[in-house]
Amino acid sequence: MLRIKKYITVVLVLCCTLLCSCLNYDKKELRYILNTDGTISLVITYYDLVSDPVLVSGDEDNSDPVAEDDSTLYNDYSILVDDYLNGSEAEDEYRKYKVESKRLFEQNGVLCGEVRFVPLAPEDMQILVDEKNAVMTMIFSKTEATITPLKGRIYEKAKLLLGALADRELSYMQEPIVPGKEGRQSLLPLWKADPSAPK
Amino acid sequence: MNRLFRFVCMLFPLLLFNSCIVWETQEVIFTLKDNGSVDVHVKMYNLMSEGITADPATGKESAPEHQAEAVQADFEEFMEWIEKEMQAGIKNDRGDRLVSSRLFEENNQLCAEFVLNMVNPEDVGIAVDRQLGVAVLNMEDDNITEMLHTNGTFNGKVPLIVWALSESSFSYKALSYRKKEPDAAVSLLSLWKEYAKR
Repeated sequence: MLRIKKYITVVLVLCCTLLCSCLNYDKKELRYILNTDGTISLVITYYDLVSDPVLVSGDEDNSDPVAEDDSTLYNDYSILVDDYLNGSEAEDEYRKYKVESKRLFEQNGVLCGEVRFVPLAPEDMQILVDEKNAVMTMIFSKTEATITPLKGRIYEKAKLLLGALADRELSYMQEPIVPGKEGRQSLLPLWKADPSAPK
Repeated sequence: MNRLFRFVCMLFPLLLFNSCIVWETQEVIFTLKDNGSVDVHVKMYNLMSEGITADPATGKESAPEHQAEAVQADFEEFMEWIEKEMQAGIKNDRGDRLVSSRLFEENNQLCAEFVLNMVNPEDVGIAVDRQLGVAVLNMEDDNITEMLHTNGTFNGKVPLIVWALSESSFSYKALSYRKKEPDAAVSLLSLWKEYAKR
């Protein structure tokens, strides 16, 4: 009976670890590029793909990060490659758009991921291209993240992103608000060591 | 409720206006002031009531035979709001001011007119970009059925209007409500006329 209880405890801890392991990123860049044919290409780049530490109490605000073991790290890398790069997780997250290509790459010593979407008409991305006034603008909803505009200016209350048509792009950087980055581990070494991963 | 009206209700002062007041068309003119504020001139044509009440507990709508009572209740609530809350000169915490408000009859319809001065144009969904020389209105949350006219750029596909800042004012007129059935909404004109006689 004691052995069964022990077994159940091990399974529960393992399940909890799997559920709590957290594939994350440092920043996410969204670029809406105006093509010469008038369509818009959306390119999303995730900078510094990482494995975040497991939170033990289940309450994110009051949890202590515990040192991550290799199994969590490998598990997060496997989610990245199997579910996002080779699977349909990215497609499932952006159902409104059709994924054109996905890739992982190294930049400035961190692992990055890029998702390109099939170009769409501006209106399908809630973008207005106004040739007369030489601007492009889009409806923009603030999320629970720190937003830094790259091309264009953000008008938070009016929920707008507005830029010059000459830039042919509206873009911004989104940084998720996380309780802490202590114990965070880069997935770059695993990707570099993975012989099956396209470089 | 249409965002524009909800917005007017929320500004002067906080009042949850839950009636089923609708109007056929709305005409809005924005005028930027030198101090960065914006005057908003709103006209709502053909005020009507759908005459539907919902039981708060069940959400069930009232039977059609009770429409007249519901219309009357809507009208009473509306007039109370107009008379008690919509007094010219009233200000909110941000300093936004109600310049004037009135009800009037035009083409055998009851209409309403409000003039507001907003300290920050963004509070009405307008981004003013002096560097790019444009103002953009986000109408995402407005229940615009059909755009009838604007002096800005509107493509009919994205709920945004762009105006050049060189325009002296920015305007649009839009269909706000289209009756699905002939008796779906009842004009408030006759009730208003009776009310005026009291």
